[in-house]
Amino acid sequence: MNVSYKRSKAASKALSYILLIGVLALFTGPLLWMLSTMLKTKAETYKYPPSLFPETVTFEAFERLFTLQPLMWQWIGNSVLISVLVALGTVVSSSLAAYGFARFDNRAKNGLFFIVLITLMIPASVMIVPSFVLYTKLGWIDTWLPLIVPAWLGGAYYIFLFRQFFMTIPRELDEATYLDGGGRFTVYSRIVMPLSKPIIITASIFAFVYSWLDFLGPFLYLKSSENYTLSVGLQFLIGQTSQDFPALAAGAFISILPIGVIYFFAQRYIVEGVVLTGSKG
Amino acid sequence: MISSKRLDGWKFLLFIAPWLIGFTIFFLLPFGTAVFYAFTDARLPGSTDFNFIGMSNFSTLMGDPIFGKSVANTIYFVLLGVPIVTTGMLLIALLLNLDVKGIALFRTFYYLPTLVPIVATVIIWRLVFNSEFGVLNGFLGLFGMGKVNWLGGAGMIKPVIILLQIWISGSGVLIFLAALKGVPSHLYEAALIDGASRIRRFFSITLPMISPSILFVLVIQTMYNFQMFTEAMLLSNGGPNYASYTYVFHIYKAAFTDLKFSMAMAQSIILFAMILAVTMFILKASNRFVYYEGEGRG
Amino acid sequence: MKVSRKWVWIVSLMFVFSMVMMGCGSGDKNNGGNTNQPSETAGEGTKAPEDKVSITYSQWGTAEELQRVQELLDQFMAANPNITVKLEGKDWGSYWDGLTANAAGGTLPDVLKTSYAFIEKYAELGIFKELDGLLGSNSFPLADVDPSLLGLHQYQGKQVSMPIDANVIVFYYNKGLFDNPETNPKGAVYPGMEPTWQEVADIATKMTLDANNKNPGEDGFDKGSIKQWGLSLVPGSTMDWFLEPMLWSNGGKLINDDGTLALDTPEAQEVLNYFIDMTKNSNINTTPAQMEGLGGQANLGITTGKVAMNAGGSWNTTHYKEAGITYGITHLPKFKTTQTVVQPAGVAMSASTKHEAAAYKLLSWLAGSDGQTALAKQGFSIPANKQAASAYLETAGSEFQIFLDAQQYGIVSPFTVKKTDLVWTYGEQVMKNPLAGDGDLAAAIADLASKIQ
Repeated sequence: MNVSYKRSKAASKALSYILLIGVLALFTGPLLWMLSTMLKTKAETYKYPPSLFPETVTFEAFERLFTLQPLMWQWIGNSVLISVLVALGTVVSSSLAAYGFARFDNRAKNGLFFIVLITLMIPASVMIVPSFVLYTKLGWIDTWLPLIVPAWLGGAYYIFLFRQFFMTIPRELDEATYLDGGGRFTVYSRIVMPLSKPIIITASIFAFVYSWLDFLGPFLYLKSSENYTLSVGLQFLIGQTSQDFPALAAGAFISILPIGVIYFFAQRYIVEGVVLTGSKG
Repeated sequence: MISSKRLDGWKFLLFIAPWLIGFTIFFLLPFGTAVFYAFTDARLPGSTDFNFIGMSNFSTLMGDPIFGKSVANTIYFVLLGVPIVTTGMLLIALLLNLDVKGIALFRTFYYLPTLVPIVATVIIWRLVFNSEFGVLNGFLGLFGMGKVNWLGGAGMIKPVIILLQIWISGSGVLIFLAALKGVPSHLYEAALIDGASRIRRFFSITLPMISPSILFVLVIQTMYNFQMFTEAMLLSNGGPNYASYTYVFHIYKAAFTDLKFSMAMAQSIILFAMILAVTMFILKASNRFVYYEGEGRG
Repeated sequence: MKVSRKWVWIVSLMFVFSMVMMGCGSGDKNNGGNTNQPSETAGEGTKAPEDKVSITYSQWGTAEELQRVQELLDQFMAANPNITVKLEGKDWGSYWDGLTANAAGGTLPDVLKTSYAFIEKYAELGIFKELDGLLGSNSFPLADVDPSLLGLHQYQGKQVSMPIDANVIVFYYNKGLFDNPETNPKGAVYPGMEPTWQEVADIATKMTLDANNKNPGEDGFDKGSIKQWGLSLVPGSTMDWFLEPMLWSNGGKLINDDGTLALDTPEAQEVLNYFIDMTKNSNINTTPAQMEGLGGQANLGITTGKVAMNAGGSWNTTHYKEAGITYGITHLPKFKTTQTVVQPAGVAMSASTKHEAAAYKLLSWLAGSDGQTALAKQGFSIPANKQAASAYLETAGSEFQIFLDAQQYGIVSPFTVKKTDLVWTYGEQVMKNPLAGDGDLAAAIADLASKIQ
């Protein structure tokens, strides 16, 4: 009995690893293929059967990429700047609104917060062409304003995130501040925000990452190539050199690099952010 | 006292002012615009050169076979894609929840594809699924299989897109993983004493306990698939023969390629209504099977 | 009260701060359409504007093509130091959608490249400036441009765009593949100057090799392991510049005079079935899937080193040189008569430009003898202006004489909005696979016919 139990346990363990390796291959395989492709010569990418590893490793693809598309650096810069501004704006505006919803006793509060929750359910792409009209009227087409300003005016998702966290901060601390003569904003800036560092980090990483990943917005609103973000720039690149597989792979690699680095250093916060909204939503 | 209460009311409004302004400008205004233009014949987005034509955009849409195809494709991605992707997420989460050595290493990687910009994802997938020189057909060739036309054939493109969705499903997996961790272990211990099998334990303990998360992922994924656009546009340009032509792709095409902006607005409104209806339906239906701890049946 | 005022301060500061930050992103826009620069009038255009003016020029192209355009613009700016031209480069795939967005957003470039295939579709919206008045008052020598080319850039009898090149479709082969015994074990010869399809098919059969260097039709040929193709043609997604002249070559047509689809005539059917047969049964032409695998552009097939021959535009020589291919050129293969398409691109002005004088300067330079000669000297585009023809021949030499010769074979088939939609919107979706033998051709034709009714 003991032997067969052990054997079945070993078998199930082996099966687990086989499945795990299969899942690992699914998730990392395409990324590895990208790495392999970008280090090949152009000719080697037209070979069948394809070679798993480059015959000779070369960085020519990067040279071609940056000669063909000298704007690459600028796109990276644009993406970083936009994403940082989005993250900053998201934290400031959403935490303010969330504080309002978490700490005030107001007749309108519940109704308004319900609207916040409803807008979480609004499909973004239904709004994207109508919003385009708004931006044309504002003269914001081909500027970064449509990408950044909305972030400074609160996002339902982040308001929800902050509110959930603020609710866990004991109100006794507020009362102590009021007794010392502080007002609402003192409580927000001196008590609540300093205690909310984890959620601030999570929200800013999230906002940064989602702004970095955004394609549809920049694709519709940005028209001249020096205003592009990396995502739209990459799409432009596909249209320009659809046959240069190594250069395309190199471009993809560059677009992943910054986020990949953030992920490996800030994995914990990303995980927390998703879990917080997912499990309580 | 009263004045201080009123003052506090103003302060509340001040705190939520950013959101209030944002909601008005970036939601109410565009939504009103969409409704307004849906009943006009404007050709360019935001054009001031238009006539009111009543419901005729809607009736034209009903007779448009390409619109019909875009609806059918989107229904495919919702009815077939959502369950498959959600099940995939759950299976992967169960796998990554196993208590084996080195699991942390495996867990590091599943979220990485989710962080790849969609254009880069498409570049990578086109390299992998390249019918002539892609690694996938090369691999299948080792087993004597012929080259599969993954992206260019009407038959394979939709499944490939669903597979792509599983590839970038890290957030859903994460939510399921957290939910699985949250299942109280004493429930399993009790079940083990009762001699319940592993499958039995899954269906009678795990599944009910994580049902709120399943509902959440289901709703999010449904909304996402209703709005699928970028994958279909970049991977196969809606083709071949409109096989990956999604609803939102058609909205985009109407507004920017076909110069029928008002038609795009009519389509947006229909989509809005459809998503609202389906989401409400899922939420209503969920009352029957979602278990909220501490609240009994919710 | 004190507290509340502090509040107003903080919030307004926040907004000001955010607006300033945003301003950084768009601060140096000088032609955003919403700036308040005084607009110049056409009258001032006759004398050089005193102030420095900055205008935008938008054009599609690959990276190499855009670099050559930048060279041209640099020459223009050297000749007109008061005008700065900013190039907005796009790829063909997103150019026209982007133009719609620009038109809606009031951010149209001052001068923009046009294709004769899209003139009517966008002129209908009134986004192009009517040029007749400007051309007349500045006495642009219209006689230098072929009337038929001018005609293709008119809308309702008015000039809305000026042709700048007379690009033409020809047939290319990769000499390197033919010259190397490893890639040409059967010793196929180059195609002749006006080849028939029979001749090209024979060559393509010899140049198509499987993993064992066997040709299609030979015993043991394995179509699953083709490593080199004779041809890369995707007629379904190149209807305007390839399929249509081929239909004419066999006495058929793409579109009847009454605007209906003409693909069900026996002449047309013969052509369609010929391409299906070459792709599906003879395996000497890439399937759309194989073409996609090679990067997706049929006219760049030979740059991969895996394809012996393809149809392409005169502009594609840029790409072949860039890829280091030694190529030969012939006329498009014929069924009965040699035919081709002349595809004159042009330049138009935005109807809402705020810098009319400067924009006209650029437009007339690009379409006039100076710009056209500069274009001709680059050697990659055939100028539309007769004044530049000799410069073109001097630079290009006898190698490109064929591009001028080919003009006489051009079909006369103007674009309507319906044809633009047929060719660019529906055709690729519906016809691409059926014209490679994958799918029901008759059903596809019926489907297409219903879409352009």
